[in-house]
Amino acid sequence: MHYFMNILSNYPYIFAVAMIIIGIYILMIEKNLIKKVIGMNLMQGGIILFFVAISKIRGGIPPIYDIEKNQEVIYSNPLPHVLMLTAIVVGVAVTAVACALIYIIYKNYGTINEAELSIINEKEDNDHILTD
Amino acid sequence: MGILQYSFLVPLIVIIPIIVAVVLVFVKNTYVSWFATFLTTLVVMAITSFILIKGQFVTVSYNFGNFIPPFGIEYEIDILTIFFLFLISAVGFLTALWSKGNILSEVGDKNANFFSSIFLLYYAGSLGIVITNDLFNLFVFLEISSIASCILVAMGRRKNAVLAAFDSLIIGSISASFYLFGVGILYLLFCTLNANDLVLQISKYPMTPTLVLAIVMLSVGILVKFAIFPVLWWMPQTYQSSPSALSAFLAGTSVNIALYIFIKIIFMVVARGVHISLDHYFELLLIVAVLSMFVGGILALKQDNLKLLLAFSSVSQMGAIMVGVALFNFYGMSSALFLAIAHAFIKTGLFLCVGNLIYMFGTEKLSELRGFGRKAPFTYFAIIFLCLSLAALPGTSLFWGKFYLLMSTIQSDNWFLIVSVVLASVLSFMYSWKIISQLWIAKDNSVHLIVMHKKTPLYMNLAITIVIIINIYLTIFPNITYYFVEQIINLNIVSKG
Amino acid sequence: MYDTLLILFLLLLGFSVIALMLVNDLFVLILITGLISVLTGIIYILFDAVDVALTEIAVGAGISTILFLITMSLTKAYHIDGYNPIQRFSRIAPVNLINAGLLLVVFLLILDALSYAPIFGNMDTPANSSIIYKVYTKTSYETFDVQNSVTMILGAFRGYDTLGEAIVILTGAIGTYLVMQIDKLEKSEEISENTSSKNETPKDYVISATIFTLMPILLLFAFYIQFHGDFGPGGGFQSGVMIAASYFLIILYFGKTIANKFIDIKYLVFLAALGVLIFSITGLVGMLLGGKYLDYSVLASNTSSGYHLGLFSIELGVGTTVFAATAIIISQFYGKLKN
Repeated sequence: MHYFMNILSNYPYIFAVAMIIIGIYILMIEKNLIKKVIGMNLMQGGIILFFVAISKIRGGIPPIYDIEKNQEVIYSNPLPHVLMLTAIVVGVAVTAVACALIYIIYKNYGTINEAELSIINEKEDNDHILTD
Repeated sequence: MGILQYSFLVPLIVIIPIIVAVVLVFVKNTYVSWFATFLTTLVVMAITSFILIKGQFVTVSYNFGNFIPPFGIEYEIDILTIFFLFLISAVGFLTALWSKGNILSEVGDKNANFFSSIFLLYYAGSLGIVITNDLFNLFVFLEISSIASCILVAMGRRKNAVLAAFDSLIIGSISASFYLFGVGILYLLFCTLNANDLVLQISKYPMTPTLVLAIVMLSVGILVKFAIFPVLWWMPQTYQSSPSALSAFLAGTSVNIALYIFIKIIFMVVARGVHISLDHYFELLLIVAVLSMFVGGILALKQDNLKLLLAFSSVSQMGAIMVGVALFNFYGMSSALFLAIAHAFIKTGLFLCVGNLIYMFGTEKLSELRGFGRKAPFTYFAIIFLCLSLAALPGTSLFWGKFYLLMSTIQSDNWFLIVSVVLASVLSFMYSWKIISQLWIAKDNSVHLIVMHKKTPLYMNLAITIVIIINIYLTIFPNITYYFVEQIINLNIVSKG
Repeated sequence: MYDTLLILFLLLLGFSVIALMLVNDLFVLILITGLISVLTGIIYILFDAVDVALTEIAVGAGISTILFLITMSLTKAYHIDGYNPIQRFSRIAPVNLINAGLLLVVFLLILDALSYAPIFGNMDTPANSSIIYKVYTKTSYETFDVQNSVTMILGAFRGYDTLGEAIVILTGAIGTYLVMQIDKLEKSEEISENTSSKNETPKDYVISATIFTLMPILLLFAFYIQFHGDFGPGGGFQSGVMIAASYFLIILYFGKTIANKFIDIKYLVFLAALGVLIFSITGLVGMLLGGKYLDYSVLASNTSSGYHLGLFSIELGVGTTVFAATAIIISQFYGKLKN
């Protein structure tokens, strides 16, 4: 009983882990490259949700110092917020580069389906550098 | 001690490449940006060798912003760190020296200055991963190096470069995500990101499934980066399609970085504090490592593309290193470290030689390269020498690593392991012999004569010469290096663990 | 009450994530990703993470959605495959079923492990009761006179991470710029693209009215949170994204050729590098004045004003880099669109 209470009271973590797992699932089975990137974003989103959930204290307020109600308030933990700001920025940089690569892949191969790409790639000569 | 007054040098190892890389964005001249890269790597290597020689096995730490460790970010250099830092900076220096002609032939002069700039960012990222003592800072630098290496791969002028770049970006991102999740769980349990503080906290804490979950997530993240058995396919493709300067740098460093994170996070941080034995965990690791040893070796035998062959051989050697790590005894760890350093210099040298071949003949296929020896004798003999080292012939540097690995398997008294290590060594001998024989036999087959476009400049051959001298040094004096490795293990893993 | 609200939004999030797996139309799929970002943003506000919420909504619902939409129309991939959601669900291959089963087991194992974790929201969990938490929340105001402790940690305690973050976004922008230039097959296309884009200035009344009312507000708000980050939520990153959004509005209004004359992409790359340079030089100045790297207390005569100067300087650096990098990324993608 205690066991299930523990699981249930940690419900935000359950959702975060579910997001991570579904992100991995999308990465594993989908062939479309854009959807793969979306799955990667979902996985990162789950991790960010997990971190931010750690920082929450019930009855707390955002960690911005208020001079009037000086002593009696509890602030939520600011450290995970900072870490996740960095993680979000890293995520958008990865997404931008990935989207640019998808566009170039489409331009060179004419498709962004992974199964078709690997078939095309096997037939081509990759042993030599392209010359101008 | 003398070294502590030089502690201001510690952040400069990472800061100097970063600042130079950013300044190089403004520079359009290819020669200037190459020369700046060369100079930067030289300075960084000078700093690391200064700390290595002057350090006397003393731990040096540096607190950013003058905040004491659990509150701020800390850099810490102990003997294990300086070992890897020196390795990375030396490989970086050699590839930077060599890279000038290669950038022009494999990247094109339009984006050459950006290549230098991003190469330096990758260099700084690799050094930052090793030097930092903060788990989240490690993640940030992991991502810097992952994005930078992906861009460098995409800049190579091969048809499949963009595909390989996309794969390596996704894999790098997944690996970093798993790692971050593990860090998150550790943060949930212990509220600290500093590795030294974490050791203290874990040792006070009972073993719970949550901690096991953290260990599993961290190791999955690191092992994906390690290109261990189930997820190894991305790595050979990346090595093959990237510009040779990057292939050489990746081959020399990426394995070692993953090995370093693994030793640091799993052994020095987690395993040191955990009370129960991790036997089942190590058994699982051994199985995966043995599998990747065989898969890499067998696939290497089938390749005609020289770069792919070498990349699959890297997979196999990584498996061997992992076996040493997972045995978790004195011989195992020392053989892993020794194999890592020997393999790094051999592979860097071989990839630089392949780069020379691409520069001269425009191809990397073994079947097209037959009989090139008469036209480029220097590269020819360099490849023969390095391949003999890769085959682990008795007396070469890799042989000593393999020998210690065999000793450690015999010590563990596991027949399956002994047989598989011997078989993998036979495989590595076979694929090394394949390179030598393919290039050798064709001497009389003079019908197929290849055309040499241009000669390699002096500095490219100079870099390869330095690599060969290092390899000869490791071959003749393995005991000096081995003494050093012993010191690392005694100081870090045995005494603290 | 709090839990009801939180569960409601978490359930909405869960439904959108499940929809993400099943939907076939890529356009809808991308909109759902944007929706997920907005929902997680709201949940972050419930978790008291105001700065994270602001960033998540700006990035996830703003930049990422635009990037995905442009990539979709560039690659002409409007559908994942030819099936509707129910068919998609029923046509899952046996291999994928095994994968899904394995992942379900992993999910349950993780849940089992997390059931031993500290309870969510409690005050006495390690993360919320340790000395580190107390120092971060109290000291930032009492010692350094900075009210927003997120800004204080971002700039000072973990300022080195933020330098890394600026480098990542710089690398991403340069990478996008370089990758977009890779043309391995077609070379003639660039010329035709330039000629076709001459007469494209959508001088619609509605659009121009929206843009000219929206832009000053955006810019004002951006500069407000740029220089006010010590006191309220926000800082360099959020303001950089907002200034980039107004740059995007300029592109939308004048068309990309005129906008490119207005600010050349080359100068944007320089600007992005300049931001990182400001940041790293600020740290180096602290070192030269006798402190450690990124030590701001030595920048001015007393600690508090030194910290304000240092935080101002590095927020400026981050803001510059993020503005320039976001502008590069968006204009690179937008520039490839033909119509």
